Amino acid sequence: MDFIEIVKLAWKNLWRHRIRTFITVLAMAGSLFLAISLVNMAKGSYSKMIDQGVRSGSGHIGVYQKGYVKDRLAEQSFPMDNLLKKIQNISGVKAVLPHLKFSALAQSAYDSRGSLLFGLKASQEHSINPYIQKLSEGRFLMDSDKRKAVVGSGLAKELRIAPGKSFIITLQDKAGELQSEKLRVVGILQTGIKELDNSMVMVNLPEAQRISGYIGQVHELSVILHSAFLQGSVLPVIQSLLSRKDNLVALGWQQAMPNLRNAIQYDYTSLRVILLLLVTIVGIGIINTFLMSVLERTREFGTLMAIGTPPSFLRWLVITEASFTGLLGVVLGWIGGSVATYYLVTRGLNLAFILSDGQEFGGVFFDPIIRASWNIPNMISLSIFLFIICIGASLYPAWKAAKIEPVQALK
Amino acid sequence: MSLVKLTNVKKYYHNDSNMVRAADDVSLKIEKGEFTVLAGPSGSGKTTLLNLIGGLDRPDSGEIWVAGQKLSEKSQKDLSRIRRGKIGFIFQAYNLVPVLTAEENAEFVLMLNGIPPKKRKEKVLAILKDMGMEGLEHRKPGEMSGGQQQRIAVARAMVTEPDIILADEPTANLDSESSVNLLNLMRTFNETKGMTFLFSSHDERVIHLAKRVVHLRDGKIESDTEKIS
Repeated sequence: MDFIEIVKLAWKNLWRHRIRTFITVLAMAGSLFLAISLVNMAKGSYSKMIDQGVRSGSGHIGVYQKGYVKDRLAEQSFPMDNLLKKIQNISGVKAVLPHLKFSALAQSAYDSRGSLLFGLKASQEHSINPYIQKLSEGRFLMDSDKRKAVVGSGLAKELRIAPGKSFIITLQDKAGELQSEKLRVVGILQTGIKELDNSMVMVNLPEAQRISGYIGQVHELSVILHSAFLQGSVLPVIQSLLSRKDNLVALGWQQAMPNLRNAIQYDYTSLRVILLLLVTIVGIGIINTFLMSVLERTREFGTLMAIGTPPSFLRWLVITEASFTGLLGVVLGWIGGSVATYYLVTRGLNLAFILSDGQEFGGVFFDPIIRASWNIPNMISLSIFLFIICIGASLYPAWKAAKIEPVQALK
Repeated sequence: MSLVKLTNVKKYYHNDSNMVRAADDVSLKIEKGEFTVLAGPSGSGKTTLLNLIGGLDRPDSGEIWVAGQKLSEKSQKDLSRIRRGKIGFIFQAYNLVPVLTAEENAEFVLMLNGIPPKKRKEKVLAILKDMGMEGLEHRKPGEMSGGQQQRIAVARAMVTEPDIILADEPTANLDSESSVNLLNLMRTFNETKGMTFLFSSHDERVIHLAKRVVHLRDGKIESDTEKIS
């Protein structure tokens, strides 16, 4: 059997019904275009959310006392100095941010509210933590600030405080005694995440350590890497540094921020189900088209078989026609998907008109401007998948073509 | 040995509650170089007989031999090989592949037989020339008249130089002039190249041109007349 002749004939047959071929190719290209665009958009927004999440929370890798992520107890702290320096020297590590967090009570002359006292190194956080860019009033902390705080916008509103005003923070110290401190507001934080805006009180780390009595201690070392892809190589190095005596663990962001991980997994699974439905519908359409193209050529195939064409020739002819259709669909879909991805990477899609302010996703602020990211392996696998669907859709029509009885077909 | 030999061939079809005897105990011999017509009214069993001889259908009983091959013992794959090597087919409705040119249609079976493109082209151009189809090689079926299309179908059947050419009502879709022209062309090939033709027709003007006339009625051979030319 001459495959070159099959290929030539298949190519000619493809253009027998130009409009039908065009519609079939367009359906395939359209579904691949949608799949590539949606997956790249989803991956882009996940990357951004992960990035925001790691920068404002656990880091790509977080170091904790074992059980802290689940229990969040004040006493689950550990000394930071030596460890922080060692981690900072690991290749691939961009920054190590020490955090100390306590549940506290914030009181003003007007009201009192439960809050989260968050001790951090202001100068280090400034270039990394995206929430710091979201100050609605005042300024962020400076390292030299003493008894100064940045307060969440919701909390500030409840307490009726603003930059320049003071309030009292009360917490249980290391010794179990209640400690109160008067803090002056320097800035109002507006992250868009209600939980943070309604409770956050940011102070310099030494201030948090002083008020709580946890001198030299932290609850979290948030390790920021130069790239998220380095997590796999850096995590074991950090784990090897941890002292068993202090009962410390190093966790990837996936373990440290299970809400975000689960939200992304759920969202991506939903997207895949939608894409699967889309591809199934397109696949059924393709089967219908190929079957129709075989059935309307019953007489022609019967003639070809009568003059001695082997059934396998016809089978391969139909499969080759499907391959061409699939290939054209994939090429067009790839081009369309790439153009859309390029636009979404460079310009983004602004969904502000349908998303209200303060949207969050898995505990992370959801930016209404969605930007895609290039995921070439995903684009290749989606294309291969769709091509296989196209070939798969042609198998039954191809089998039907090879089973044509010349005597019946020629009647 | 005869080129085609049918011995007590029966082929019955069940049509609703009726049984149609399409071939009813037919015995027939066709020798090499014959130019024979199967004549008879519609439903007399002409097409069934051609299909059986062409290996497109199998008899309920009886034996069919074509070019020394007993067809009833052959698999579909073998029958397919026999058809593309030893038998040429011409159909009533031309049945050319619409996306292929005249030349590509004519060379199709040569391609299936694995003949190299250059040799295929030589053979096809020669036969198209013999058929007076020079200059139409690159036309597609839709760009040709019925008579021209049927000539291409004849070229497709003859180009492999088969042992026998089976033609089912080859002139049924042609006007009188084209019908006679086609039959004359086939007869010329029969006389000059010694090709064996077995065709069916119920058109008296066509039957008149045959050298041997086998009349069928209700699946049986009614008469078998050899003309003296």
